[in-house]
Amino acid sequence: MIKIDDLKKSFGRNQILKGVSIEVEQGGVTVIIGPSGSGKTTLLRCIDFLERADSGRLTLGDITVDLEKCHKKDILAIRRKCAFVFQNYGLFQNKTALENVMEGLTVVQKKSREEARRIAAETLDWVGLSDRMDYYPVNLSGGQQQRVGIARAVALSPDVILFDEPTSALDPELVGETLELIKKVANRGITMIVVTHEMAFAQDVANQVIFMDEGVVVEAGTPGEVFSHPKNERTKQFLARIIPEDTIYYI
Amino acid sequence: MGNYFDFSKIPGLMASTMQAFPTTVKLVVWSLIFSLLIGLAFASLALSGNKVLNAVAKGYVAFMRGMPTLVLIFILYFVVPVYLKKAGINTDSWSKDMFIIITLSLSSAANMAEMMRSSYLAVNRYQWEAAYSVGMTGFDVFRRIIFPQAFGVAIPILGNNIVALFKATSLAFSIGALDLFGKVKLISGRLYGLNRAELYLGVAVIYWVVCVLLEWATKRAEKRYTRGRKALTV
Repeated sequence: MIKIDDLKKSFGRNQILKGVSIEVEQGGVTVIIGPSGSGKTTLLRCIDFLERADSGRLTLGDITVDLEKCHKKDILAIRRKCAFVFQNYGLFQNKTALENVMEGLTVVQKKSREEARRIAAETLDWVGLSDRMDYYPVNLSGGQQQRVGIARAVALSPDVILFDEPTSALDPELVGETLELIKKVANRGITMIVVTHEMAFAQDVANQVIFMDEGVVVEAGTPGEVFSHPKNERTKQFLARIIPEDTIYYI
Repeated sequence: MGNYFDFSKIPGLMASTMQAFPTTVKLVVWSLIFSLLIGLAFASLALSGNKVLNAVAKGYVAFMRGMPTLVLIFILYFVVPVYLKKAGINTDSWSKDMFIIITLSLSSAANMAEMMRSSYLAVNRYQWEAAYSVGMTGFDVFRRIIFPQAFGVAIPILGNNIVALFKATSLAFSIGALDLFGKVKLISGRLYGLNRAELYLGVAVIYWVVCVLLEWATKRAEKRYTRGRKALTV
């Protein structure tokens, strides 16, 4: 279970997150939606300490940390329970697809090279890249790179995978297959938090949808509740803008 | 007449000149080691984020950029020892080679510092985030992800810096050190100026061949360390 309590974060005088509290159940898929600049990505980055929150509390499994004054050891412990899938793939440019997946297994989890290689190869096969294992990221398409990024996250068998707009940088034709893959990850029962603009995906896969705007959680609930019966006026406006005339399509 | 240029003299003169090759190698290797260490120190200052330390590093680089190496050799060899003596440090026992190594290290360190700073900054900051996100420690991130990529960027610059350093050793003759060119001056003196053309051409060929070899080694190293950087087709 992941619990975030009253998380605040400012960049300079600009407060991005104004006390956000969310709760994600074990094995569940939480999708965070909201307009640009609402703080979705910052929230996700704060969970993995890619951004340092100003205050708040984070509970991840059996660890609870005060985000304001937590030590390097806690940060490392949290990061080792999380995996992150980046909008721009975030692959290690100096390593092949296989090495990208192996890196965390050998360096962080101290697995033997043989075992890491086996897990990495299996996972790359699972994402459909068994014929691209020895390619460097520069030689892979965006969709393939994101598959490697997802394989790297899954191979670590983390408690939670954080997806930061995983399809936003992709060509439209590749969005669908990448979403299919993320759905496959969800079916493995891994806890996931996904920031996305793909409303159909949210409706299809999420257990919980969180709508954020201007640094606060405006509304949270099941996809049915949020999409079909939004209570808050801001949610209604956002959905009306993004889903015209009750049809859902890929943005 | 007909004796303006005698090709047959060149091999013999080159062989005599080559006796000083170990000295030149010694100058290059020590200067390279020290310039990398001093350069690393200044690059760290430049990247530290502290304004005062930044200014120190910038000042050093700017100063060395505008300082001709020959002038620096003279200052360090003729001027500084006088003041050091007043401060109680006697440099009489220091060899000429040592002064050359000090000079070249200090002047090349500025280039090395700039090389390290720019190569480090050339690695995308997302690489740090990606590595942190899989749970790596800062040290591991640097060692396994950042350094190898920065090194790939640095290699061609490093190659240039080494070539420049190697050629700059030819200034060692100016204070009477016996590097390749110092040796040439010595031979030339013994021959009373005869066969100067053959002598100078010979030493130029030696410098040129070594530079070509260095360039070749640089290219090979660059290929090896930038495997992830270029697309397959091209």
